[in-house]
Amino acid sequence: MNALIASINPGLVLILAGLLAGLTPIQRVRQGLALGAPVLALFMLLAAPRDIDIATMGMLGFDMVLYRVDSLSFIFGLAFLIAALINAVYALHNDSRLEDSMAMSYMGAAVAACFCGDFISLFVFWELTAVTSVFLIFKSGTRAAYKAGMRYLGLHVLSGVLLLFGGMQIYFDTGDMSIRALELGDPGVLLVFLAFGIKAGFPFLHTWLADAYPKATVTGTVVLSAFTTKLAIYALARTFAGEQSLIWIGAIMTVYPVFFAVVENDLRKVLSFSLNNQLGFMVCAIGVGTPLALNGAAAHAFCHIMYKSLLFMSMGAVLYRTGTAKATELGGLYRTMPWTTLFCLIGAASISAFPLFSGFVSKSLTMSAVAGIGALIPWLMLLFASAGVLEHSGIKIPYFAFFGHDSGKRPKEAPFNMLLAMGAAAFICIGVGLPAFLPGFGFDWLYNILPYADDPYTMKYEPYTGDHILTQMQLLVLAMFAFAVLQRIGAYPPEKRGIILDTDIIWRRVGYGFAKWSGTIWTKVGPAMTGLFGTLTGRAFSRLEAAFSPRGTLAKGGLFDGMAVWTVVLLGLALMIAFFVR
Amino acid sequence: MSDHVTPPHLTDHGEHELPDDSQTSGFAKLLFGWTSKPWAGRVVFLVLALVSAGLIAAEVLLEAASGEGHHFRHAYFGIDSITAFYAMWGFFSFTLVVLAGWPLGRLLRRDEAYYEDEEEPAGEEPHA
Repeated sequence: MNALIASINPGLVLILAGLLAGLTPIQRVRQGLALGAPVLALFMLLAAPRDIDIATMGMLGFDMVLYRVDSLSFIFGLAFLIAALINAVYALHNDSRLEDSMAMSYMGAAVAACFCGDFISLFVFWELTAVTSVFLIFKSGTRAAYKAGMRYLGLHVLSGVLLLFGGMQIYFDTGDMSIRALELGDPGVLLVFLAFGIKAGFPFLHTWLADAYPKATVTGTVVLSAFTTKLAIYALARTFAGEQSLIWIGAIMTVYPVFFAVVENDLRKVLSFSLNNQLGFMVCAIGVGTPLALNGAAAHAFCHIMYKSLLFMSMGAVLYRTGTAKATELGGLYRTMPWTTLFCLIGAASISAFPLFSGFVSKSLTMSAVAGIGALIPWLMLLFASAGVLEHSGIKIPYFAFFGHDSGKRPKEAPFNMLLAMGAAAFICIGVGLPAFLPGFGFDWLYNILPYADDPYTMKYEPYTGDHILTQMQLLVLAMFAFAVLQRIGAYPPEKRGIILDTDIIWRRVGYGFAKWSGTIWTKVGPAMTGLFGTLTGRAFSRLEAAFSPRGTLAKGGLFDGMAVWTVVLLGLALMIAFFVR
Repeated sequence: MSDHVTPPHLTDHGEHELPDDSQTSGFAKLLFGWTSKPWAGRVVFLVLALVSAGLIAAEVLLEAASGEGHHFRHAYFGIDSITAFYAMWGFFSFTLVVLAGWPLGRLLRRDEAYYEDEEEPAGEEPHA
């Protein structure tokens, strides 16, 4: 029995729970499924043997690996399952069969994808994450959510199609379908890279993230924030570790969202930009590709899933209680939501990488790895982005929601289940951020489950040195001082209602404008063309009718003689041609 | 609803518009009540200034105490060996990001209904 349980991909348990939840009208049963499935899946993952193909299947001549656990997939799977459990607690008050079902299936698909060993299986679960998660956006019920959901679906299905085509091309080129380290160059590999890039939010492919996530439901955004993009990070780490272009792609990803976040009014959208920025650190580390860097990417992904969920949960609680997440309509909420404020501040400190919080122990690995290969400009960009993170996630989010200008709103504290989920995430943020007072305690626990935990450099890597602490505190405290100075002199830009244009204007405005213009032209040209076609076909028909109808020219006897002569002449010509050609 | 909110300030609560704290919980007052005091902005500013100065002074002192040929701080590149490099980088990066918000806001901000009728107020009915 134990062997059977250990041989099933834990993601399938969540998918099955999702299917059952879809058929269950009783909320209590769905709650049980949402809580029970991640716990069972966690036990299954912990019991699974490492580094062997646990479950395989042959289909259409392909060897598919449905379940394989190694040190890289383990930490991502573990983070996903912990997030799934926390999300289940956060959404306990939710009485929506569709949302429960889709959230569980989506989380299960992401977990299952982590443990796939071939491109076909990965494609199946990759697409499943797209088609299930989009319902978390649709469920908001607004027209904006519907349209954003459709844009999200379009890009993510495209990502899946690219992955399938790329995977097949790789198979035809090499005869090997397994997911493994790849080098950019062949068209198939390029397609896979692009497929991962869409989900990872590469520059110009990123717009779906800040477009769709803030429009999902309160609980949906929290679920979305943890899985899709980190699955892409896992896939990149698995296949493109050491790909130099990722260093620059990642560095750019860390910088530009910072500027969008500073002018954005919707605080859930600010967090989406912040998510994109954090992904940049991971992508950059993957590009460096050394064991220390890959440990940094994995550690950052783990910590990021926790603190980003925590921040989205706190903003979700604000949205749930006040009906808005816009900075212009918020402020002073600490008065009646002190626990949510406290948890938000813990998330803010973690993402800003303050010592004693999780971001500090994970980001240090990446920063050291990037500096270690002598990549000065990307390192400076990452350092710049670190100050930027403090601006939008460390200060702007808690300040504009809970402090600052008093909005006069006095909502109730978040529901208990939400507080419990936030508390659990906050506990992890602090727990893995603490110094290793004892072996296996604090950051040591996290470092021990990293993909290259036995790497000699990582084994002796110590984030809590005087040097690290001092430089990080200088960076953060002086940045906070800059905030205080800018506030005092009135140089901090006011929050304003409105939307911020992004590169998706190319298809949302220019593309849409072109389509609209084409439509207008067609409404005018179409009838004219139809008329012209009608006239031409009408004339042709009239001529044919005139020739072939019972009253037509050919029906008249007068032509028969001439036709007989012409037939003989043409037949003779044909025979002569045939004779000479032979 | 006003179009925008003036830059919030920790000490913005003037004498005539003290916030209503009748519903503020004891726990909230204990943890965060100080943030709405009239002196909070000045105190935060001063504390941050002092801590900033202290962190830079600590670096200078620790470097001096490291002795000839030794460095307290590990520098990967030439530029990061400058005294208070991280402090300056943090301060100026933050300032650049915030000040960039002025022109960027003018350049990129549009009405919420810019994309036809797509943008609607985010969220749902409050569950008070």
